[in-house]
Amino acid sequence: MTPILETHDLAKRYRRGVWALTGIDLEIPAGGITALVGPNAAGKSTLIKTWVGFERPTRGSVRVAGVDPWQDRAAALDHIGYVPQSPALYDGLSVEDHLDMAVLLRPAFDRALARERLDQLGIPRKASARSLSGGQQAQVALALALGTRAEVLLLDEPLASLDPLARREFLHVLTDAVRADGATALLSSHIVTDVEQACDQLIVLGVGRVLLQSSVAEALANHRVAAADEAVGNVIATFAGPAGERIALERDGDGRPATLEEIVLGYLASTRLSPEREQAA
Amino acid sequence: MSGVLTWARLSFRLQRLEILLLGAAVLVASGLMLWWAYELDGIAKAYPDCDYFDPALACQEAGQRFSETFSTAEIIIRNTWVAGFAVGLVLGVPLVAREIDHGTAQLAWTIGRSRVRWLIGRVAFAALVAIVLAALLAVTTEVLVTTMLPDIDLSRDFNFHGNRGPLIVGRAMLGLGAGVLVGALLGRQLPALLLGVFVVGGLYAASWVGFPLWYHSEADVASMDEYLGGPLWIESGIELTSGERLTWSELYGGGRAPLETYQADDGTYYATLADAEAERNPLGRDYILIIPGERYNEIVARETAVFAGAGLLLIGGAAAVTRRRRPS
Repeated sequence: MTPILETHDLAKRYRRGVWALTGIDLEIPAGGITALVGPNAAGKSTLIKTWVGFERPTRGSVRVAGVDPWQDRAAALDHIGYVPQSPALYDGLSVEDHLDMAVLLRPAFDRALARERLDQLGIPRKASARSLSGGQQAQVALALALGTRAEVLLLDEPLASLDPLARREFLHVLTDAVRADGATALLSSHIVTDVEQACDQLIVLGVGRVLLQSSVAEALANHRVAAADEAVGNVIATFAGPAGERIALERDGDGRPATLEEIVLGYLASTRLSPEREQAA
Repeated sequence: MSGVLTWARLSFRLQRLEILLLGAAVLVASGLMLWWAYELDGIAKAYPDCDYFDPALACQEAGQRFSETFSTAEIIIRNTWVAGFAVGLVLGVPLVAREIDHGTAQLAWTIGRSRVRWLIGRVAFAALVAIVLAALLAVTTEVLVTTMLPDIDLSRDFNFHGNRGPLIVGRAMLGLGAGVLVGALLGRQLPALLLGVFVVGGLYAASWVGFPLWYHSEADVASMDEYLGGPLWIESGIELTSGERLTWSELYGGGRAPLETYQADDGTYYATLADAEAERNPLGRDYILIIPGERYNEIVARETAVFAGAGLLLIGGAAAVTRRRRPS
């Protein structure tokens, strides 16, 4: 299947010399929701922003539906709906004004779809953006992204500032929309439990590189956890469990099936002693 | 049509604060100027036969009232050169800077395909508002100056040049362009506004020096005795007996003459009092370079076009910056 989002040897260094991404190779197929998981400063936002055309790669290439967003941003944006980290809406505009603006900026914007989503959630369209709760603002940002009818939705930690109920509602709307439209969504988050139910694919990003790319089902099937001194499989890393005990994440071992959170924690722990991380640090 | 109305409505809402503040300030200033114009006109019409030196008591009182109102009005007229720049700057700075400051650029720049098209839409409305406000000031300053100098044909006179008329609109465009560019470069509203003030000040100073240099070759030579106000003063100095022209600063600063010179009744300059009295060894006669008042409209149109053109160039620069910069 042709990937709709690609990066090849993507590296990004900021002016202060900090490498946010180091040699990222990714191919994300069309359809479904992919979770991009990693701790703060793992490079999630930078990766998404290179796809949107906000950041220029220092090395390597990036493509959205075959288009390099830095070379032809307009063509790339035709394929993208974007929800930024903090859903910054215009304080002085109402929700309906935002839809009007979207139509002005993108004549093909599907206002009816966006209205329908907002009405389903009971978000008053005449309300000023500043009067909305954080969850409602995130929903408006999502409705604006969905209204673009883009094939790819890039969501940069939209859940970070939401309460659990708002997070659940947001993911529900996103899942419904992606399933209905056959779109592809890339959802970055540092909260694994949020994305577990919604996502089909998982990418774990740590210290600027990809630690794991897999379907959620395969990841769950292939990883086990055991007490650190009892692990017999291919140990990826050990890390502290909820009670402080040492747990080993292993491939094909004899332990109990790992949860998605344990898989992510294990892969992140695996970067602690890596020479690459030392170098990056 | 509905698209244009939507564009205007949204653009207004996005800059409501600046537009209302500037609108109120311009209305107050215009109202004051029209009031003073009305007062001056009333005094002049009530005493049509009085002139400045008329000893009649009524004329003296009228003259004093006219003079007092004139002085008050002159304070605001002398400062209207800054009004156009201020209108443009205040409207221009937030266009990109606020979007970046508040994070909304991420929204606008991903929903729309082209940032340049987005910027054009925003700048067009701000420019429209700036032109309307500056034009109102342009008209009211002309009305006020007309009543301040009732005996002068202001379409052929450089009195209060730069403080009245269409130049205010041209300067508003320059302020707008500078504001948008600095805002796009810095991405922060307050620092951009402060830097914008310096940039506009620098550009104004450059125009203050540049325009006379531009007009130098096309200016008329006149004697100081002939200068009665009205023309645009470009330069003054001394024409040496050799025919060479030196400005006063070139004459004295270059050590070409002693710091104290003597002028005879016929306008000839001498290096010493003895020379002046004996009318020997003359240095030369004073001269001035002027643009005659008849060319007032042409010069104003030219300067307005330069300011507005420079503003458009700066907006072009802002578009180039906006196209490539990060939205945060």
